Amino acid sequence: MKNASKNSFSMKSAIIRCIDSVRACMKVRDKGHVTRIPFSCFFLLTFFGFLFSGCVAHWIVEGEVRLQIENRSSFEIARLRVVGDSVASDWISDTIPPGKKSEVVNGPWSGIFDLEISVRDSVLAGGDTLWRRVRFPSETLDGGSRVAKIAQKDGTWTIRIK
Amino acid sequence: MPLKLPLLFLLACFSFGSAGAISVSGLEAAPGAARDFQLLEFGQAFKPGTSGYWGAGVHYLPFSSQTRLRSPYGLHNGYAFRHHFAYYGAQPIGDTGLDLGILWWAERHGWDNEDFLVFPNYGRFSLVRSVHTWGATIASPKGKWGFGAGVQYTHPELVSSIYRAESDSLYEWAHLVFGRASLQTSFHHADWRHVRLSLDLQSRKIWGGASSGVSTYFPDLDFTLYNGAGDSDSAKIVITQNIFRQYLYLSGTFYAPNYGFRSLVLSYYLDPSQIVALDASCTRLPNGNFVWGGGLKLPFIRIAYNHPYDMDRLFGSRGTVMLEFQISLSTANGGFFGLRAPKAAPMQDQPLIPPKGTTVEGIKDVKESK
Repeated sequence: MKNASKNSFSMKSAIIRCIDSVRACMKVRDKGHVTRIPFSCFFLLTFFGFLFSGCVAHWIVEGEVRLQIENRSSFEIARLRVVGDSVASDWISDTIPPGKKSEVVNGPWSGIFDLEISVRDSVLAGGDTLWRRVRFPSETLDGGSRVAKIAQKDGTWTIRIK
Repeated sequence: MPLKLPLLFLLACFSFGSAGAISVSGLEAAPGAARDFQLLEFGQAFKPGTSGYWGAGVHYLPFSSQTRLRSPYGLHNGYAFRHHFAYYGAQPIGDTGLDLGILWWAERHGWDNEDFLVFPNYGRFSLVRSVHTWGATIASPKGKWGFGAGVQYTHPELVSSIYRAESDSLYEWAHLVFGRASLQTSFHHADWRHVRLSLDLQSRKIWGGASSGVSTYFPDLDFTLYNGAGDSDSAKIVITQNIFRQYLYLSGTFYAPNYGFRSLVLSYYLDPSQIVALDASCTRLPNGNFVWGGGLKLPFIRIAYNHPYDMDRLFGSRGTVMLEFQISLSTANGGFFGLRAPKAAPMQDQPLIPPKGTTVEGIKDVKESK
């Protein structure tokens, strides 16, 4: 307290004053007086409040997902969709041959969603392709760049998002 | 490793899966609730003799999994937000014995996929809206009456396609207080929206009542009738009861005719000025389940878990620790106190307990001689 100049406002003096005021408040009943908390304490608290609030958090936490599919199965995969109750939205509409990767597509799908892919099942006699839908329920997607590795083993489809 | 454990603990504190996901309908119903809470708060702050009230608050939710949005597509990571500010100030008009006042309650709320303070991200599933209450008041502290009137304005800034479309709306309101009773109403075009009768029967020292005794144990009653277009009119009843020397209170909220019991809050105040509070609460959810919660309110910070205050004002979010940087202070007769408090906070020059062998005057003398 001695070093802090009375006329200039410095961070150090503000912190010292805050600590002093807290100590004074704790001693309130011994002295028989209530000490008023200095206004600098309020300013410091609001400063920290705003520092840690939204302005900073969105630099670290991304709200959108940049997703790429890696087809590790021996089937051709077409389009990835987000499906919900009676609604669906296409996310990646590439057709991905076995062993290949899709392009990276940005989507507003950070959260927990049911994903669905279409898989080439067989080619019909007329030359038409029969697509089968495979659903991955409740997949957690965090914001940022993600790769979804889709594989099939013994008839079971798996998705690993990293 | 030693750092990981506390971090994991912090994460566990703030996120409890998707239990507290907020719904599209919760966000759609928010403007009505926000308007109602703004007028309720104003009614509680506006007593003949109040010279000022100011409140402000920002919820701080560090993790995007704390307030997920449940849309038809699934659960979206993101942030519910409610930035609010309230100001009421009154000045005496010459020596007429009347106080003239103005007020502004402002709130910007909604849900966005990225956290922000001023500029939202406006995501594909976001909703950003502001609600304002403006007005002017006239009051006679001697005659113990007051009247206020003004407008309310809701402005949808961004309403994504998953929400019901809405437009800017203007409402009018009026508030009359006489003694311990107050009557409040609001209108939209030619329809009334709500009528509220508040009876603050509890004797409050700050308004010239008793500082202890039987009259401080009278309850505070709040009856509100909402216009639900005829057949779905509803009522809300809030009863606040002093249990122990204006330190301990019990407050119950009920809805009629359908919902019934909504919440019960037991509050312990460190001082009758009600600036520091410790709450325990029990809330009944729309699905009939009960959730327990609590909170700690300090002058600049409020920490709560499953508190009805957050559930009502932050679109039904629950199951996560809420941190709000907030302040709400009233001033009257040179003292300051929390909303609806019975007594002013002890100030610097008010001795609480004179040391043994001295009198109150003795302490003053010592101070002056320094």
